Amino acid sequence: MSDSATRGSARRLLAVRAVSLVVVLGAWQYFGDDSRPINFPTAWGTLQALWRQLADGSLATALAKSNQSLLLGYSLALLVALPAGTIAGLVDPIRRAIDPFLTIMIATPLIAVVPVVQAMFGLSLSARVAVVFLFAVGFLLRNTMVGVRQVDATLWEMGRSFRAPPFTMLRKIVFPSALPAIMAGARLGLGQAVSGMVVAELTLVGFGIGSAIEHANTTFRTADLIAIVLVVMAEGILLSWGARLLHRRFERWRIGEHGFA
Amino acid sequence: MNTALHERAPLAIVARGIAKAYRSSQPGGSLSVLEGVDFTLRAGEFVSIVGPSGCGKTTLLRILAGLVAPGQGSLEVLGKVADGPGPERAMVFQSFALLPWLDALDNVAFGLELRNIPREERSAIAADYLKLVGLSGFEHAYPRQLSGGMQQRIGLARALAVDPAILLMDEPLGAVDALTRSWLQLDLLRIWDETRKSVVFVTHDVGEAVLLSDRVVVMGTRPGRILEERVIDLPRPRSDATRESARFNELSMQIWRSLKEMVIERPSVGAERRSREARAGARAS
Repeated sequence: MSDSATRGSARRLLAVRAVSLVVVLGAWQYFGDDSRPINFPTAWGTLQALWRQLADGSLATALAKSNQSLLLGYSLALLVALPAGTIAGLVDPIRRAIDPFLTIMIATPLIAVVPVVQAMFGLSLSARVAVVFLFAVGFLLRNTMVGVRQVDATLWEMGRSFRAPPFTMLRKIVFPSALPAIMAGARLGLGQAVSGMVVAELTLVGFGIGSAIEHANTTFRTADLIAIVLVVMAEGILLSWGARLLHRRFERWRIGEHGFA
Repeated sequence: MNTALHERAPLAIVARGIAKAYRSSQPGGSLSVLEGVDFTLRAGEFVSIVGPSGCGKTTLLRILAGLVAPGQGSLEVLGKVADGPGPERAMVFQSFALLPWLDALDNVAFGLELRNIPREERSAIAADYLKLVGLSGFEHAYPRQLSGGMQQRIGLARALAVDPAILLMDEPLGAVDALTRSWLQLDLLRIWDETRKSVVFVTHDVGEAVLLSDRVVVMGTRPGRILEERVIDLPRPRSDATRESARFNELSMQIWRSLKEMVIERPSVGAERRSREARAGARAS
């Protein structure tokens, strides 16, 4: 009975979403105007622009170029935040020392720091990587630190009573315990990293997506512009969806502590 | 009868003059948890430590386990000075301390894994101990799918699986319901009969201590110290029927009486208030 009830409510949800999508697309189509490129285009016009840019490969190239900074910046953030967060989670004075900086980092709109990054790195790839890194590292660091710190004290004692060496203790007790919190941080950080990538493209120098947007903007092709934005949105959604799947895989045993979703 | 046997048995643990104090919130002050504790455990002996909350019985057990360093005193385990945990001792925790991401079999095998026993061998050993504690068929269940009593059986099997000479149990039945507890006590009797480990068993349940032990150590508070020791001369093997014997009740009453006097004489809230009033008086004068 409950099975059919959940199936019924799932079907209702699907219906609601289909209706809302049709309404939005219909309104867009109705209010849009394809008569001149500078006008706000119709849904169909945008789809055509999207198709054109996908077909000639320009969008794929732009995406590939932009994602260099995402890949490098996010990897670098993981590489720094995981060990640093672990150490900070284990050593109380270090945690206390970096805690205020972390709070500031997570609370400030990081876009304000972009000019500083530009002053330091110019308009190079490293500048864009630095922006992505800065956007992503805060959540990664905080969640790793909190996850490691929250490891059950009796599990530590259990490991010690079996004389587990320090590295084994980390590998077999601390990391598995902290993994759900770390994965949640990785998800949040990835979302931030995508924002960082776009911010870097738009405010530093248009290399991939940024230059495509710039080009569409200066040539007054609104449909092209919206198509590009839609693609960036799709990338963000796909990445966060993938991260969620990964996150779920790692938390099968979890009951719901470490509330950092 | 038991006693004579144990008096000839070699010493498993000898602790002399154990004292432990923690720094308190007052500047320069310290809180004495244990003072002048002498404790011995003979090979094959089952000794319970009972006492009210705050008597330091868990701290004493953790010192015996090597998890906490004593402030003063010496600890010898199997004739050797011990200054940390050792392979000859294994601990059973009140809150079970199971790894939630491992199934029952892997949890039981965890101590063996830390000793680098190959996977197949340790799984076989773990399966045997799961059987011993009555959990055959639950090898691949995760801790959260099991009741508290079953989780503690896993904790016990994990400790036994490394084949320690000495088992240290910290209120192992303190987190399970009363019915399960009575049932697990009988299982502990059976398992002890089959394994004959030397056991130190911390509890605040007098009946449990009497049913299981060869000897009961009664501790008092402020500071934590040993008040008396009582040999439990109930014949073995013991069973549920042991609880109905006159001697069981007599021993339980004797131990309860010494505990009761202490709890009534030194109610912890009253003692704290008295000392606070004394301090206030000293400031006023």
